[in-house]
Amino acid sequence: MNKTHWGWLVVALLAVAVVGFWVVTAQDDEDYRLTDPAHPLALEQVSDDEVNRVAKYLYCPVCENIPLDTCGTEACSRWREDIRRMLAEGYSRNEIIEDFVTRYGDRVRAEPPPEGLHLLVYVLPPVLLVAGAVVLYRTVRAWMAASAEVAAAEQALAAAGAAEGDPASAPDLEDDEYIRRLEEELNR
Amino acid sequence: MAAIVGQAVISVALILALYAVFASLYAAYQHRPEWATSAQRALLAIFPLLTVAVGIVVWGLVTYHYELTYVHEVSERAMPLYLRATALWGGQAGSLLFWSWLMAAFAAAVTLRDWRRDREMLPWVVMVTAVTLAFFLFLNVVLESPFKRFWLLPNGDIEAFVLPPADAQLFVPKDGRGLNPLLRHPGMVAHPPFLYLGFVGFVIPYAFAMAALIVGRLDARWIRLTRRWALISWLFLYLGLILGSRWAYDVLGWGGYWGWDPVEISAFMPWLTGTAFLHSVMIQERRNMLKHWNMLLIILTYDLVIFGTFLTRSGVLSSVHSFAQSAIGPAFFVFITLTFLGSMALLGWRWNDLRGKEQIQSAWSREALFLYTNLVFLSMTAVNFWGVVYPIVSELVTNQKATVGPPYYERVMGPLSALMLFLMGVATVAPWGKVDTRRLWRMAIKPAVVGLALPAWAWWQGYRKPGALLGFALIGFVIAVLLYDIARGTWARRRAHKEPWWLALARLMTRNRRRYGGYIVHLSIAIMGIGIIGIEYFQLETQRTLAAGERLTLGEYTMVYDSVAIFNTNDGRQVARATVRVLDEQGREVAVLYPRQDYYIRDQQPMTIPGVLSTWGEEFYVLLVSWKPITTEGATFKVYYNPLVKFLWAAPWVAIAGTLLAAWPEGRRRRSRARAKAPAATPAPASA
Repeated sequence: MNKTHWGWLVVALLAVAVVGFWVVTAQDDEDYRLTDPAHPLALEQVSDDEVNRVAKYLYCPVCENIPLDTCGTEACSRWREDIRRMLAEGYSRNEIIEDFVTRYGDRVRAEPPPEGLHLLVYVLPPVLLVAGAVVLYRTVRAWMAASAEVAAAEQALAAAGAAEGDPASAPDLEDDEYIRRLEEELNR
Repeated sequence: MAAIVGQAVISVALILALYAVFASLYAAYQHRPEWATSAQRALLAIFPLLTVAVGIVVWGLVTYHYELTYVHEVSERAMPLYLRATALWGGQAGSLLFWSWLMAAFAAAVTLRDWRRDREMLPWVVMVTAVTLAFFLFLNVVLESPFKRFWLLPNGDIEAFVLPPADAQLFVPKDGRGLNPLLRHPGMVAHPPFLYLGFVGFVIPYAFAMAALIVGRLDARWIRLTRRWALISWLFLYLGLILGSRWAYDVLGWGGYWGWDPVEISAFMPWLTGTAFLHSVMIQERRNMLKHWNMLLIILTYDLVIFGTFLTRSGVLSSVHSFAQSAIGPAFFVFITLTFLGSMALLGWRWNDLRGKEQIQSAWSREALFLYTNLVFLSMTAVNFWGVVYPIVSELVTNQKATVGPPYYERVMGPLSALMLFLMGVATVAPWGKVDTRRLWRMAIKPAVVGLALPAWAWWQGYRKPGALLGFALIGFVIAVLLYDIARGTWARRRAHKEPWWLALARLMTRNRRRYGGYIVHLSIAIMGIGIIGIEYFQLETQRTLAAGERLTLGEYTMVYDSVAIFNTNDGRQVARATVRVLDEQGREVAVLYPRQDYYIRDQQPMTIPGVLSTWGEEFYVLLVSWKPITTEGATFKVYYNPLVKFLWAAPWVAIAGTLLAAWPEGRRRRSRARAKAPAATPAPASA
């Protein structure tokens, strides 16, 4: 395989790995319920951990940027007891979240729902990144094309007379050569 | 009385700052260097004046002068001395004065440097610094004076003014309101000052950059002169962020260290652009490239610093509508807009002159990789900025404020951080100029394979999530590349100089401080990465109400609730302190912890202080929460098991070592040797 292609292969593999990881982690826990509405539990049977598992997905309706499972106020304690009650009555996690959203608005969600204006939150970052990568790619290509021209011109000169090589691209990596370059650099 | 002196002093400081602005402008346009010297002196004089002002505020705080509104707002008799003194930055007015004071200190240091070789840039550097200082002094003097006092008016009202209104009497409250309980922690001593030092420090490279643009000195001189300023400011900003994380970990009670809160992000963004700047300027110094990027990055860093101060200090995040309640918000907004537009206009004016002659010759060359690095940092900044700004946008458009929380940030920052780690590893081995990719591959593949030891160890320890393993592989790659390079250099020196390995290593590092200092800082980032992956991917938590004697298990630890002591302290707290014994898997007692809840009676605010067992493998973090009342019959504990997080707390020490090495001034012998070699190209030795 062409030497440049090795490099791009690595990049491609990395990209696949990253996107793959993204996909895998994006699969959130599916919705669940502790019981069904026909068989409600007693409040004591719903553990604090179960309440927190739901509260994690919600934000305090009145305090700034504090998730419901860590908010220490009285109001938040009552909201958590609401969650406990709803879990005992057979609500699913998503149903509880929807209930809070209906009561307090979208701000209790950790992320705005992907609709309307809020689509910008989800769409803009990837669009920006892709646009940036495209711009970068084209700039680098243009630069490389320009430098290839310069290099070709220099080669023509070298063929006609004397031209020094660029020490920065000395190809030899034998250990003694390496030491010489390292020494040069260290003495700078 | 002292308050009047304080107000007078800061007013004079403001006048001096404005004078410095106009005097330096006059000096530059009329080519009158004596006016530049006058401007310099005015700028220098501001520092002692502000020191007096700060001294008065601190004196007021420490000696219980509650007629001063600010003292009343942030302190009370029950607070210990260290908290009373550091309450200087506990509230709006004092915090802004503190900012001005630090800026004045840095401005003074800049005026005192040897300007003989850079006379043309002097008036502009002074002007830009003075403009920044004047803005903050304007806030101090006019909008948020820390010297307001309480006055009892004839009609019975109590109002706050700097100067006494007619027929009013001074009103002296008996006690203050006191600092928010969450701030009553040693973190209060270090976190704000470090952060502010980082912020303020970046103003200096910005001033030099603007001077370079105006004057036309578009080579790397301004970069060489401000390299250490930028490096030290970067370190302070980094430490400020880590201290904030540690403080949050200690008292906010959610077992975490970073909540993607807008105020946190507002300090994170200038760190991102500042880090990009530190790297990108190396390319300008070596290859005369990326000049536009460097200007853009320092402009962004400066305006993000002001934006960060603005976000923290104005109410714009709670609601756009509270934004205009104090005049601070609009003032900041106008200043940021004007400075940003002005700087970009300057950059646009000099755009063509900034073009370097060098080209990128290979997509995998060091220059190219640094370019990609810039892009990744800029992307991180852009997505963070969007996440912070979007709630404001949505409130303006739909009248409902959306919350943009951790899921958004984790989704975008995860892959970008992975990319950054990859670049960090590859750029260390990539050569300049034309690159033979097959050789690059050969140089990179060995450390990559050796680096797999880290995910292999992680797998063996039970950390088996794919994202985490990928992260460990990248971190392993970075660490291996660094160790390889250090080892090769040491070995080469040994061969050449016949030194013992430890001497070769020491000489290698001290003869090439920038490179190896930078490597050590990279190492600190890698260590930080290990801690972050551990806690983000593998944190366990549970919450249960235990009666005395009952136990709960999380991870390999079991904790036993022994007892609780409930008592009142003499500084207004009701304390519930639990005694908890921690046992390992074999049942042996490994620690006794005292998680506590302090309830501040007057503020009606609880504060939780965890009991933490900390090892390199994990931290076992126990909180006493108050969902139900705390008694020996039943106390509710929330317990976190945080793997590897101690690496996160260890990382800053490594960064300090690396930055000190990179910033350490060259010795006299080396300086004269360097100067003898290439007189035109060396930096002035007296530069900071």
